[in-house]
Amino acid sequence: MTELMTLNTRINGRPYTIQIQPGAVLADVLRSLGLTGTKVGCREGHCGSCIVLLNGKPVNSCLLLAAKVEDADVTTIEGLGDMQSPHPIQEAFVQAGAVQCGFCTPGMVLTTKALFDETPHPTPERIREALSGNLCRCTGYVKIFDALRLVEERLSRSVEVTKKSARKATPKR
Amino acid sequence: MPVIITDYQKPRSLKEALELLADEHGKTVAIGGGVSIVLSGAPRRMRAVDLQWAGLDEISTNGKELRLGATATFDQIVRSSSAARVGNGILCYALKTAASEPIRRLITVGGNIVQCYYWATLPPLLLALDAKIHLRTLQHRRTLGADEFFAEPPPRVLVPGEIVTEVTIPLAPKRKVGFEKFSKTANDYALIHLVISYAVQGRKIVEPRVVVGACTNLPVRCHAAEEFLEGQPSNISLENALKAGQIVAHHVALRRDSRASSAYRRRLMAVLVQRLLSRMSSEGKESQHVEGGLR
Repeated sequence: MTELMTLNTRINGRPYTIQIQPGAVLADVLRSLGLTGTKVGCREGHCGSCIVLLNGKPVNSCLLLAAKVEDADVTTIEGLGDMQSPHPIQEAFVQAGAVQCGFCTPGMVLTTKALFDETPHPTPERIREALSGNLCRCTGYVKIFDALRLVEERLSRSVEVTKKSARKATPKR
Repeated sequence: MPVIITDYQKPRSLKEALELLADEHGKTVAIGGGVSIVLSGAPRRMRAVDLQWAGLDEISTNGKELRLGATATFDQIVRSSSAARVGNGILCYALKTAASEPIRRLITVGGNIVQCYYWATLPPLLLALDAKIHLRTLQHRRTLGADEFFAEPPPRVLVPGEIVTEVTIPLAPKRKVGFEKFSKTANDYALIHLVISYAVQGRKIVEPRVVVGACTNLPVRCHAAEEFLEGQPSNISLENALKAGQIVAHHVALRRDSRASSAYRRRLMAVLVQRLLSRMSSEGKESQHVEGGLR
């Protein structure tokens, strides 16, 4: 038996102090905490179903030693939304029919979140590049790309609405 | 199966890391991104010294050379304006082909060149760009040229307790550099890596480097092709480009690869060399950076 080590980290905004095996990978630690939205597919970094956000950027949690997320911010799919109040990206995936078996979806959604946090209007080339680490064997990606277009449209609209309400709220001189 | 790490240390400085690595030779392993430790599944017990917090992730330039800290990730390099100055952007372009974005956030300079898997992207680039690898133990420091570092598997080059701290690459803005990765899909392990670089003096090619990787166990320079190219007109003819390709295909010793036969890879190599040389030759003076193709 190896000695356990203490890990201090934040997962979905909540601080955690947990005992882990020193060689454990993040995906296994997350799933042992009940955060089973993080899927484990290939365990080699090819499929992207294990993707989580580390300080806001997508990483393959099956290749990442959990000890490396000390004092970091980890976001899993559970941190975005749930059945009762889904995140707009999750809604867009449902509306576009971008979910079939669903195994790749948590990784796809989190990669999409990071992409739109980085740029509100990604080019088709940038979208392809950003999603290149997420494999989907069901949809053929067309519906997933549709979902991303929906996300872009909604984000643009919400920015316009925010601007309009800001203009209304500004008193005229 | 998780790897068996018996003790995980997180030193906060290089000195502390070197002190930890000086203990228990053979049982202590330095960790950069940790990817190869996770993937190796080596059934041995080890003590890990994670260099993530040791302050080795700097990327900078002094106007003559680029300095890459050992724990700088490929993603940091791809986004770095300093790194973009090497070979007019070829380093950033090439490392972008190494893996998908999430994995590029985990691959580090030190890990990639010390593990030196046959498909690793950085080693052939360092060889073609005349890079230097800086090594440290608690007591000593030394610098090796890429030729020397990759002459045998790098773990054999390192003495106990020694780590790569930094890699320096000459900016050499006047050298032309071209890169090709050939793989079945964009993010797949490469079947062939090809890097060619040369300077031009008086419309002649001088100091050419022709480096092949992925189809060999370690990245190798093809000296026969370099000798052939030395002194050739920089406006290289199709005939000479073909000849150079044939020389590379003839001289490079291939590793076995279940994905493609040796005959296929030799033919492929000759074609890639010819295409890359032709493209490099036809590039205008303003743009000396030649991107490879992904197929």
